[in-house]
Amino acid sequence: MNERQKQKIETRNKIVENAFLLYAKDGFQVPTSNIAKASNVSHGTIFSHFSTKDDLLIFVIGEFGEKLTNRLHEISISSMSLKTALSTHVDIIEEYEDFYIQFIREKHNLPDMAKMEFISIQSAASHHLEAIFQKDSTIDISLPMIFNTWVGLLHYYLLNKDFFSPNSSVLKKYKNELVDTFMKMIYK
Amino acid sequence: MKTCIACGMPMRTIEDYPLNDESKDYCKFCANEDGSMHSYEQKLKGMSAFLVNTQGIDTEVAQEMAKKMMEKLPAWRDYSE
Repeated sequence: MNERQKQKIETRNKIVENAFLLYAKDGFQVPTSNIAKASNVSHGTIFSHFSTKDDLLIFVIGEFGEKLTNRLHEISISSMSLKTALSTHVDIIEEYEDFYIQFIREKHNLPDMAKMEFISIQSAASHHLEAIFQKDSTIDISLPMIFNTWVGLLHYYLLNKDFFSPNSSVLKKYKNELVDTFMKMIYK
Repeated sequence: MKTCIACGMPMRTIEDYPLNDESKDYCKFCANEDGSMHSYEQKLKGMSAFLVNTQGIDTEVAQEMAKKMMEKLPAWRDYSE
């Protein structure tokens, strides 16, 4: 690979990295000119790497989905106890908390592929949690209801972070309480 | 570490492979009892059912989502029904 090719890849990575940070901070409507400014490149440079604003958005969301699903698979939460698995699930989302919040908040206004990424992320988590739920005959709740109740709880706190934890990670602050409460609810 | 070409799951241990055969590029969840890989139709049906059974997704939406998820995977990238 020659210098020019190396530089091209570095510029592209820089654009992707800054797009990720700005989407996480300001949402997906952030102008590409802001992404260019943060990346120290001209506005036109963005479009020599991505044909449209949506192409950049789709790439960044795709990469985020892939990273998150890989993390969920890597840790293989299915071999853990339910309590540890739920805590780990929270930890993984927390790593990408700001972006994740924007993603679930704006999903409906994003290109169709965002819905597919959303389902892929939930599927990686449900695949591992399913294995744990099925091993436990004392849980008398259907699988989709138990999974959706858990995710619904997390998403409620994430979407209302401004009320629960405006200045720091809402998942870090509430992790133990959320996990303990959910455990109590399903084993009652 | 290989990633299953048919569902995208990383295969970390020998138990993740069909019949513990590490030469395969797909995981045990994407294999038939004889170790061969599921067909497109089988996988689409299985993935849709998984979305319905674990997340309660509407049947038609689940099928549409499963098709889109499969489009991204090497085994089905060029597949057209």
